[in-house]
Amino acid sequence: MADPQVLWTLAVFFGRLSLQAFGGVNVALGSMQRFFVVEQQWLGAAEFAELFALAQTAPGPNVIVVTLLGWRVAGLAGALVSTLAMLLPAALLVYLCACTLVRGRQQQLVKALLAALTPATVGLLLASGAILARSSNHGLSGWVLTLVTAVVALSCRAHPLWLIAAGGLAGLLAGHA
Amino acid sequence: MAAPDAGMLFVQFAKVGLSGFGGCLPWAQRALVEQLRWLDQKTFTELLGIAQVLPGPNVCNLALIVGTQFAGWRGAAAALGGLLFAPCLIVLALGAAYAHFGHQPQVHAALSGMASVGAGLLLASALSLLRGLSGRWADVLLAMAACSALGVLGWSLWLVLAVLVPAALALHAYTGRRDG
Repeated sequence: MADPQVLWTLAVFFGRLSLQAFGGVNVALGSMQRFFVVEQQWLGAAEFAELFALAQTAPGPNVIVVTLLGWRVAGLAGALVSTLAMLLPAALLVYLCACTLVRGRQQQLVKALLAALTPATVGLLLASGAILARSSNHGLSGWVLTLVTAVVALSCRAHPLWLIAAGGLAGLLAGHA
Repeated sequence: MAAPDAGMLFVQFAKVGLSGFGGCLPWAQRALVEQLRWLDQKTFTELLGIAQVLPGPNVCNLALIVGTQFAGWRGAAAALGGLLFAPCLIVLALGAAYAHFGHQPQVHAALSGMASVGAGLLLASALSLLRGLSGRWADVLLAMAACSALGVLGWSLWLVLAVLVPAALALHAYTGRRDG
């Protein structure tokens, strides 16, 4: 049975993260990696990266990486607690805003806020990408894969799933080399 | 088109969730605007903007907002629940398979490659957004500041946002007044 202390720690961490994750889960990946790998030492860096990769192969919003991480640490209870903690605080806020929506007047405010959020989001995504790359890449081949992916993704509209599958294949081949 | 009830919201968002590999938003747009015609494009874009400035995954927030608009809190719960329940089950099944077969070196090797690609995709999304900031040096500097604050200085997420978002608002207001 899952340790209640662990469940509480997960709930508090994700509950707080929920209200900070503007623009989605990806900006929070750096924080999550630090929490799971460095602070709590529940996972190694490589395993964190592998769980992230696994969550990418599933359909749906990529917030479900939280479900997987919680499950890995504390089973089904951990998955449930983590997912609900990550979703509910922000969901409540969004619901309240949705109830008071008076769309026309808010457009200026929304545009200004979005413009102000974007630079920070870009920086946080860059940092998360770098942290994740450091966790995933154990040698030159990993870094090459990361950089090639970035270039390909930027230059053409390749579906991410193809790239991920190619990465899996490349990993397999590199592993046997 | 008749306004959807909670049941319809659940089913349609479940479809969106199941189709969205690597990002649900395009599918959400296709479903809500083109296929179901629950929203016109302008409304969709406005609601998406609101979803983006609030914390939480964009597509989840969009589901909540759309659900609330059509069917109150039940609609919100139905839309979000529909979006997530199948993906959560699938990801847990994948986790169970990983626990079983994860010890084999081939699985590690393949996942490691996929993780490297995942990192590359994240970097690409960041760089693509960075391109959108082109010419606005203040924004680029703010982005670099955010990156260093989180990555190098180890600031928490809320601290980065608390410092840089007001800074950006102030900067934009200042430059707006100068140009305007």
